[in-house]
Amino acid sequence: MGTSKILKQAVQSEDWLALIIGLALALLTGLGLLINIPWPVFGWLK
Amino acid sequence: MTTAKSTVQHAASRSPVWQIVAGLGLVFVLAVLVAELDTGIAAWFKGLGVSRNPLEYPLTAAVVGLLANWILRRTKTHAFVKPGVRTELFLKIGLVLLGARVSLGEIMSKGLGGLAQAVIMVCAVFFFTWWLAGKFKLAATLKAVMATAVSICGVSAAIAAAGAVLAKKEEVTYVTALVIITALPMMVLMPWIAQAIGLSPTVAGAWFGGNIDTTAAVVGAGTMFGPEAQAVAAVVKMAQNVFIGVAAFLLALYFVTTVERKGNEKPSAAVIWQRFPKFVIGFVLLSVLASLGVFDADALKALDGLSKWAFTFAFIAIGIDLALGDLRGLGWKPFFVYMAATVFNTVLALGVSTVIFGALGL
Repeated sequence: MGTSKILKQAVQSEDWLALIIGLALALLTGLGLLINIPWPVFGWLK
Repeated sequence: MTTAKSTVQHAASRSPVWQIVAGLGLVFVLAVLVAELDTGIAAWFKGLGVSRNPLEYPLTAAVVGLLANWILRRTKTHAFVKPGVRTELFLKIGLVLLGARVSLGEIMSKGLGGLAQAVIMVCAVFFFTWWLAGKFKLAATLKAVMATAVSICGVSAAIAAAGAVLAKKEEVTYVTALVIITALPMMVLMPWIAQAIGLSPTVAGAWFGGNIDTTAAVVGAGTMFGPEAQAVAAVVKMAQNVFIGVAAFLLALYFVTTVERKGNEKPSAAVIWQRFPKFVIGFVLLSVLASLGVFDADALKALDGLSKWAFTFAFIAIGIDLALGDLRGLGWKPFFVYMAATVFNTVLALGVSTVIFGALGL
């Protein structure tokens, strides 16, 4: 199976897509890139 | 189910990009509106002396979503934005991020009593609800969502279970509404009862934490009783939250190997893997990383915020997708089972917290 086919399958499967997006957001946060962004990202729902 | 699901996913991925963007944009704008409403509601409760908003944001989001649903159907634009309204995706992203909030190390450092109570309560209440729901012949998916919600921690647990067993949207909405509506009177009544029967702050806190289903209402009840009760209530609640991942994992495994099994077919490891909800891996991974102290306090706060955003998106999407007739179709049986399970939970939590935090003094 080619890389593009694997990527296409991952994007079409909500499970994989959620896993990839969730981990990417966690990685960016862990690296400090998503912290202290002003409203409306973290200024509510404490 | 898998075929129908993948058909929907393929349909979504084939939709014009601008339809997806319009749907996502609408959900984002509504999420900002929910944020504003949530802030207003929280300020109103603060004025009444309640430090945390017990009317949790998922309910506000679902109501806003339902209003949008009505407008979209009236203006015949519902089908247009639908490809961008990806309930399952939003829920699962939120669940992956939620894992960071569940740190086993933090729970262990705050006392064995909370963990001991959590193990007893979660097991007993889960199986009681499961058994009772079985007697009333509720659907397996609804049974799983309800048992997890009552025994662990309300909304988050209901969402995790729903993702693991592929529950219907109306089942998640029904249980979520019951969780929030029940938690409100309990938050007010339980501190009053605890005072009337003369419980110590520690036992009272453990009772609130082990019984009330939403974290905000647990903290609210603890606050009304006093700071010591509030601290114990929060620890017991956190200890119960640890079980979200375990429950999601075991439920997914049970549904794949037993409930969804066809005839005498023995599911192979490949089939189990294919049907297994992969987002659970993300939840467990982030939970382990948080337990190892990989994320600092700022990062954890940010991840918590992101998780809530994803859940807000999801509940708005549920509201937009929902057909009210589906909710009515569930009938009164789930309501009765939920209430009976809550009474069982209340009585058992009182007994267990009296023994663990009173007699044994853990």
